[in-house]
Amino acid sequence: MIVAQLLVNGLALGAAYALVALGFVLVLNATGAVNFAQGDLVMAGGFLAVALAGSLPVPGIVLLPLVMGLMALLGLAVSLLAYLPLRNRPPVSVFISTIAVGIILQNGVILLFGPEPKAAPALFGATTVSLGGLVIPEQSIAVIAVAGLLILGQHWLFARTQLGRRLRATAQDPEMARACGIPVTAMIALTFAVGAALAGAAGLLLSNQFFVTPSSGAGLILKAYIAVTIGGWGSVAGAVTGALLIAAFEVVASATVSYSAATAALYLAVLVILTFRPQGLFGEAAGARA
Amino acid sequence: MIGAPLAIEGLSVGFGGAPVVDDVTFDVRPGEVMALLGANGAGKSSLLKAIIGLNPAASGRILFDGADITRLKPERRARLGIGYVPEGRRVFPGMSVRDNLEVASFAATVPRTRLVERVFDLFPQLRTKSAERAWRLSGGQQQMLAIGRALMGEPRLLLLDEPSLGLSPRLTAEVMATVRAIAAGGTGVLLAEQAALGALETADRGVWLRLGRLEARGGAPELRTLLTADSDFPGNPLATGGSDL
Repeated sequence: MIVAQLLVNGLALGAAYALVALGFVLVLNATGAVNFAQGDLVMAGGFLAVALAGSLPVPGIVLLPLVMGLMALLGLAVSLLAYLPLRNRPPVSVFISTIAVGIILQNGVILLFGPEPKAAPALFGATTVSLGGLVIPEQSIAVIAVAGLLILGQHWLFARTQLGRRLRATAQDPEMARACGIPVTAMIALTFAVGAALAGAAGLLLSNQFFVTPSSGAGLILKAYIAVTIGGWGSVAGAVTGALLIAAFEVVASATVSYSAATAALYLAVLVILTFRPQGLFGEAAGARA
Repeated sequence: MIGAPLAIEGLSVGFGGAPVVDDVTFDVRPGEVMALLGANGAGKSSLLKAIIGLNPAASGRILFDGADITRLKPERRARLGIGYVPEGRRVFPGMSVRDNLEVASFAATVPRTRLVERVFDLFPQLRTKSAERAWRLSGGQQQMLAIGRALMGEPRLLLLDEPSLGLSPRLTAEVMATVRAIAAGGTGVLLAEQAALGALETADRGVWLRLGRLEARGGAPELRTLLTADSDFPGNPLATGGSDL
């Protein structure tokens, strides 16, 4: 029973992590660059939800589209200021520019909100649901459902729509995509917007149960990086699976040993996976890694 | 006289040093196959890339349907009606055959599915592989897919870069027959090939590039005679033991 309870908690955490990793891998695939600001975009999404909740006392589910829309605009700004001007420079330029965006976001949030932890409103309510002996917070169920829908929505967008095909073509061969009539610059900017919208959703979902601080982004980008690495560099399905594995590992290991030991065990597990499958669990071949 | 969908006027392409395409002038008319010939390194691929906009022009003009497109972005040129099949096919490897085709469609008047069906009619092998990821196709099938993808934009000019490269003679013959069928529909085709004599069997006219400069031009029979009869002709692959078939 305890294990089942932990797995539900792990699934809720993993679903939110999956949104972080998804946003990270989408930008990675579209640009070949690692967006080190992704964790800080999640943090910014959390604080945005906190700020909106201050003036709009409504459930989180009502705030969600607003947060995602505003974060998409922030993603567009990041692409215009920190990626597109540097796209023909060495990759390290983009690494540094996205790190700079992260630092700007952290300090901007400190200036606006202070360094204290904040909590965004729950998606629906703060009650619990009893299910076959399990006591599940309503928020956990809502997080799993909302994150699941967003992941499915992202899959539908990329697999079934013409826009998604163009985004994928841009990610696979931008030069050839241009020769096929695809406005590649717009597609890249749009990918940043989708990635930031997913980060915003993750920020709202995570900051209710786990609080959000201006420095939360560092841990999140590390987890996204690990999820994408063990899932298979560039694999969308791998990123989601990697995020779920990390969350399940964190929750179960933290319940049996200390948090520090669980964290150490997580990195050890990553090393073991990469030793035996350097291409990750779902990767087909080792690519260029940042 | 039939108007030219493509006219190249004194075009030079370079990347800082000596031009890789130097002051080249020719045109391609609707419904004809124009062979762009020359040995490896003659500047054929650079010229095609300049026409689609992937290489910047250093000087000269590129006219499409009489309009100057020299400074237009590649995506704008593609949407005007220029299809491009690059050397090495460069299909989108992780996407299905159908997605590779659909992604290159932007016509507002013809439904995407009808355009895909047209490509499948032209290349029936692709119909049976429509759900297959492109990287799993054979070289010949990838070439068909690359041509089909270029046709999804309903081009009035088709640029083909070494379509026979790596294909068996039988597949090459199939591809060349398709190229003729495409031209018969009114599309102008610019066919870059190292295999000059093979290309001249398909082409109506041709131009010969050597080290970026246009050395000869004329009807296909005329160029064929020149290449077979004049072993002193600069860059003649038949005289230098090149790869011509």
